[in-house]
Amino acid sequence: MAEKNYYTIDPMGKLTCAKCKVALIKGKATFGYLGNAFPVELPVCPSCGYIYVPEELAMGKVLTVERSLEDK
Amino acid sequence: MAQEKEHGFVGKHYLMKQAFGQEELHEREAVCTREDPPACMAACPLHIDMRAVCDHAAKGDFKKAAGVIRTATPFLHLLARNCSGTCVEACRLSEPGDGIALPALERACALYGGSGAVNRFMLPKKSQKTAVFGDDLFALACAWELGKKGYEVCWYTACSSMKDVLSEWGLSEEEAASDLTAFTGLRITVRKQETLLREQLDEVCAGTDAVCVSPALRWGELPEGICEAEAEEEPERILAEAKHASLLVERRIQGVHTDERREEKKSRLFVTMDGVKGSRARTDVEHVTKESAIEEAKRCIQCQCLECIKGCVYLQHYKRNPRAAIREIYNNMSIVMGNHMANGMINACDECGQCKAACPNGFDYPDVCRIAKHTMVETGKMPPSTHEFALLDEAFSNQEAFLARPEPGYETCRYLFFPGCQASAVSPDTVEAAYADLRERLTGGVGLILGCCGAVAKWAAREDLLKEAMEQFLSAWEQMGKPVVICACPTCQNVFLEYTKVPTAGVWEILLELGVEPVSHETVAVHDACGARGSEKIRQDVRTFVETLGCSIEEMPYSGEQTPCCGYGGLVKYANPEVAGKKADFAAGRSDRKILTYCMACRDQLLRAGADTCHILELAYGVKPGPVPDLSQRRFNRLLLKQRLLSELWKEEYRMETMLPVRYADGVEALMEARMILKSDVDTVLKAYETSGEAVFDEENQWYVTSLRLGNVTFWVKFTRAEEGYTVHGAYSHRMTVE
Repeated sequence: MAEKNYYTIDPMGKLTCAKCKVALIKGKATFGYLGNAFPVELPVCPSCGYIYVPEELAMGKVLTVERSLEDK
Repeated sequence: MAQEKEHGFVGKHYLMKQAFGQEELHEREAVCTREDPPACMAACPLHIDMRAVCDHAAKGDFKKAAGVIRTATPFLHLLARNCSGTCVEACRLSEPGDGIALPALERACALYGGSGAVNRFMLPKKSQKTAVFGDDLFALACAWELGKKGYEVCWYTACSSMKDVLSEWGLSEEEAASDLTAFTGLRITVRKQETLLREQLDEVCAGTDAVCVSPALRWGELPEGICEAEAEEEPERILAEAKHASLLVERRIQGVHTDERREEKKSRLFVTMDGVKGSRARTDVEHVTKESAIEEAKRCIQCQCLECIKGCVYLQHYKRNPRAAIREIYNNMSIVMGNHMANGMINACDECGQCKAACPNGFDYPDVCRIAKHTMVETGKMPPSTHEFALLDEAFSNQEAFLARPEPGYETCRYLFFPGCQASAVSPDTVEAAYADLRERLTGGVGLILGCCGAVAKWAAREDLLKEAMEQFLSAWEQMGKPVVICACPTCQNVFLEYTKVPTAGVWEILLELGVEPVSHETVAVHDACGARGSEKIRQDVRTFVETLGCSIEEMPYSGEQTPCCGYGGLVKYANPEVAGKKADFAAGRSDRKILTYCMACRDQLLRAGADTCHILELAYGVKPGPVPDLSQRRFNRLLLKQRLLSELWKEEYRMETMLPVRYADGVEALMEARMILKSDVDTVLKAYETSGEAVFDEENQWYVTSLRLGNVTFWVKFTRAEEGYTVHGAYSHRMTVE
């Protein structure tokens, strides 16, 4: 069975790593907060491993989850 | 009183601390009188909720109104014809005019409230047998009360029928039938006798579990174990006695022997009659009609105590009363696992004390919030994001922006000026002007400390950081020769009084002694600071100061001890910007005049809410209130003030860190303000980018996005770069780590 992902973003070739000059690809990453971990798929640089968190995700779902975890 | 329990589940990493026990919760709840009955209900021997009757009747719903009466007694028609109306005298409206004609409303309920045939919730049948002796209303009512409780009842009577009892009170056949519908389904057997004889008692007692005898039989002293009642005249008292007697019967059956008499309890419910005008009754029992009853019911002021809620935007926002809220908070503190639903509510209380001052009994809601916040911090349950920005701001005030110096030319000083972190952030020019004036006119030297008193840590329930701030202050104060601390903010003064023994004075007090020149002839309003709620002297001194400046004062609603918080208190501005904004709007909306404040945080909040406002020192020194500074400007102002004073007075050079040249695209600064992202954060992120080169190029928008983890937050900056510097197109952050 495939590993569960809480969120997936495909960069669709529109994002490039400024340092390595290569296109970001969909890669595995883990969000962590207050002892909780959430596997996700985010745009990642295949060369240096730089992980990109888009604004919609940070100010949307991530913020909501942060707030609910803080009230646990 | 405080029952402290502490449990540490080390293995599971749960830490729970019960700040106080249920007993203390009940004691705290009991201070609030809002759940006490209204005066009419307390005066009624049957405790009929006449406030609810009026409420339904005012809406023309007599069926519901009648239902309220029928929950207390089925004898609605009996009351409608015979109730003596003791409640009318008790009605608070009887003070300025006529009390509500409640017997007339009872009559209207009987006339327009329907038959009363309702599906009554029946208690399970009980096996015990009871007996009632008597020919009067008491016996009938007692039989109903016991029957309703599920007991089998034998009614020994010389009456020919139940209706006879009611017709003696003037009820028609239909009215009596209507009242008696409530007897349907009850296990009441009528044992008709020629005459009731006392001798029957022993025999009946032997075959039943409990016996009740009507006082109207005048059988004198009864054998032990038989329930007696007081002889009464008025029907409502007779019904109340029957209710009480049936209660005693039930207790006796349950083995709880008591001879407790029926007591009429007084209500403690506080009802303000301010603004309530007296009026005449619109109807009476004889002439009542549906329309006149509705009119009469509309006169009811629906007695309730809202003293704490009236002026508190926070309680209105959460639609809570403090009594209910403390129970929620208590439960919130008791949860080991699960969601802490009241966290937001606890952290949105500014602890200003307005509700406590407004409460006739001094219900201390802020104290419970304070206790809850401390418990949350101690058990690691305080949401980390709630106060972090404010605490970092305090750290900034007491590190980078901190300044402590004796007056040039002095080693120790007689005085020390402590303007507070808000004054330096909001109006540095005022601080400079006031310090210059104090130096010039006071002898013995006036030292200066720019920093935070520790109020921020206190509000955030961080005892450790408060202690740190206090030690830092005390060390500087001692080095200056333990001078008198002149505070420009009542909250700072309160903190020093509470946690230290330093002698303090308000700047307004000192300036009054030195002499104040008139500068204005305006009529103004004065917004009192939360820090001055407990000090009549400060509030009076400030008013004298304002009048000496030449102004006339027009007091606002909710002023003095009952002034609402501006929204800054309790760090609500950071913890819950929405509630803080509403608070500021309410505080600012109390007057159309210029509102003078004596706390710079109040001035800032009121200006944000659009009020014509200034601090008393701004007025005194002719400093024009500038535009509202954003979060970055507030920090910059503090540094700039420190740099200017160090250079001009102490001839010391202070270099501020140079920032990269950055231009912000339209709307970005406002967005950063809402997200509490500082320009210095953006600067640090961009500087890190210059070193690492780590960023993502977004082809669609043609900009770069870079990030940096600063403390507990990852900041992201969207930017483009040109020769003249950076243009920032957006900034956002998250607390989660990502790897």
